[in-house]
Amino acid sequence: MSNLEQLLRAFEYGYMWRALLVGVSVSISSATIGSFLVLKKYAMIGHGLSHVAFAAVAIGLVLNQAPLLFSLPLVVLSSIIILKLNHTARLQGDASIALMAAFALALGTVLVSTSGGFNVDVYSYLFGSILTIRQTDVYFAIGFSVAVVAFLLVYFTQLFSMTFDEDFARITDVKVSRLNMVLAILTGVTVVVGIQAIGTLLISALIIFPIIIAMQFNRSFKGTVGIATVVSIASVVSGLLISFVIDFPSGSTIVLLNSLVFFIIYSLRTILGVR
Amino acid sequence: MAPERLFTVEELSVHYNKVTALDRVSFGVDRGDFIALIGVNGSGKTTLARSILGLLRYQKGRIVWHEDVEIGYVAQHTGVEDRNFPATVEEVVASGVRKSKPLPKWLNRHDKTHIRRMMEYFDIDAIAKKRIGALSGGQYQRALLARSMVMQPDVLILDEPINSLDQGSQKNFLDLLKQLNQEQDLTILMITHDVAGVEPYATRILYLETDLLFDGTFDEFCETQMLSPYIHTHPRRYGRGCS
Repeated sequence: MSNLEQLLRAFEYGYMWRALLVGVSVSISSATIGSFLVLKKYAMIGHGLSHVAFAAVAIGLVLNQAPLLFSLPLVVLSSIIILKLNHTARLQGDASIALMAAFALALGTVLVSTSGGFNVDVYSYLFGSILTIRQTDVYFAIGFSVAVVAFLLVYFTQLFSMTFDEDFARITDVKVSRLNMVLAILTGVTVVVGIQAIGTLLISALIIFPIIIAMQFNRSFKGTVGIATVVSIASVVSGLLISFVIDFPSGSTIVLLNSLVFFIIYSLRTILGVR
Repeated sequence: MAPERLFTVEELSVHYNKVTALDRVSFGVDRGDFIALIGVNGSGKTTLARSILGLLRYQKGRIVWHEDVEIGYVAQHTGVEDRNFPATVEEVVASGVRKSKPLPKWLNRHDKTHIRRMMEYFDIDAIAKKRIGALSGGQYQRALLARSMVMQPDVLILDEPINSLDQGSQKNFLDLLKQLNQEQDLTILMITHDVAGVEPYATRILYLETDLLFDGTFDEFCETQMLSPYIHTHPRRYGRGCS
C-alpha cells in the first residue's frame, strides 16, 4: 500500500478523526495563548506545567484512576502557584517554573517507579497516543478552544497592551493581575487537553514554536498571532497524519515538524539577510 | 487668576523593607506646570512617579486629586527593549485610545481618525506600519508619547525619556513637550538628570533626595546655597547653567 493510500485510509478510522479534532482545538488554544506567554517572557510556563501534568498522570496510574481526572485541577492549581511565586516569593523570572518542574518530575518518577516503572501506559501519556482519545475528550477540547477564542476576541486589545507594556496597561485601567491569572489557568487547561494528542513532555513545544515561527515574518501583532495559529493547526494536522503513516509517536512528529519549519524559515531569513 | 490645582502630594513616604525611598514628600501640581524632577540615582524619583501613577503602594501620606485627572506615562527608553516584539507603531499608539471604551474595545472610525491625526502630529505617520522594535530612539519615544497623548491626558509623567537619545533627538523631544505644554496646557512632570538641558523648558524644579529638598524655579535653584556645592561638584549632571 502506498503512503498516499495509507494517508487516505487514516480518515476511515474514528480515532483519527477524534485525534484531528482534539489536535486542531489544542493547536488553536496553544498558539494563541502561547503568543502572549512567549512575548511576556513566560515561555517556560508550559514546560513547567507539562511536568506537573506528568506527576498528575503518575498519581492517576498509581491510584488506578483516569489520569486526566487528576491532571486538570493539579495543573491549573500549579499554574496559579507559579504565578503567585513569581510575584511574591522573591523568585527571579522563570525560577518558580524550574522549581515546580523539578519537583513535579521527581514526584512523578518516584510514583511511576512504585507502580511498575515506565510501561506502555506511561509512555503514551509522555509522548502522546491518539488511540486513547475518547469522544468526551473531543467535546471538551472543542468547547475549550471556543472559550479561548471568545476570551481573546473580547480581551485581545487589553492582552496586547499588557504584553507590550504592563505599567502602561495598568495606568489605563487594564486588570493586569486578573488577566495574568486567566492566562495562567487557560495555559494549564491547554496543557491537560493536549496530553493525549501531543504528550505531557512535548505539549509545551506547541505553546512556544508557533509564535516563534510567526515572529520570523515581521508582521503586526494581530498578523503574528494569526500566522502562529495557522502554523500550529498545519503542524498538528500534518504531524498527526504523518505519524499515522510512518507509525511514529504523534507528539514527537508534531514537534519535529515545528522544529524543521523554524529551522528552514530562520535559515532563509539569515541567508537572505532579512532583519 | 489663581492656577488650577490638579493634585497635591501630602507627606508621602515609601519604604522598601527597611530602606526609606521617600520621606514625607509634599508638593502640589497646577495645570500647565512643566516640572523637572531631579536627584541622584536612588533618590526616590521613580518611586515618586510610580506612586502618583498608582503603580506603587505607599505606606504613609496621600495623594489628593482635586478633579478627575487623566494621566499619561512615557517610560525610560533604555535602548534594550525587545527589538523583536511583533507590533507596529500604529498598534502601539492605538493601545492608548482604549481606556474609556467599553469591552471589547474595538476601534471605530472616529478612533482610527483620532489615532491617524495623532501620528501625523508626532510625525510618525510615515512609519505607522513599521515594527516598533525597528525604530530609532527618537522615533520610539515619539511613538510612546503619541500613545499617551491619544488618551488626551491632563498630566504627562515621563521617566528619563531622553537619556539614551542623541543631542539632536533630545532637543526635538523637549521642543515637542514644550509645544504640548503651551498649546494644549498639558501638565508635565519629567524625571531627568540633565538640569541644564531642561532649563529652557521647565517652569519648576523639584530636587529630591529621599525627602524634597527644593521646589522652585531654575534661577532659585541655582541661587540656593544649600545646593550650590552639590551643583558645582557635579557640573556635567546638575547644570552648566548654574555658573
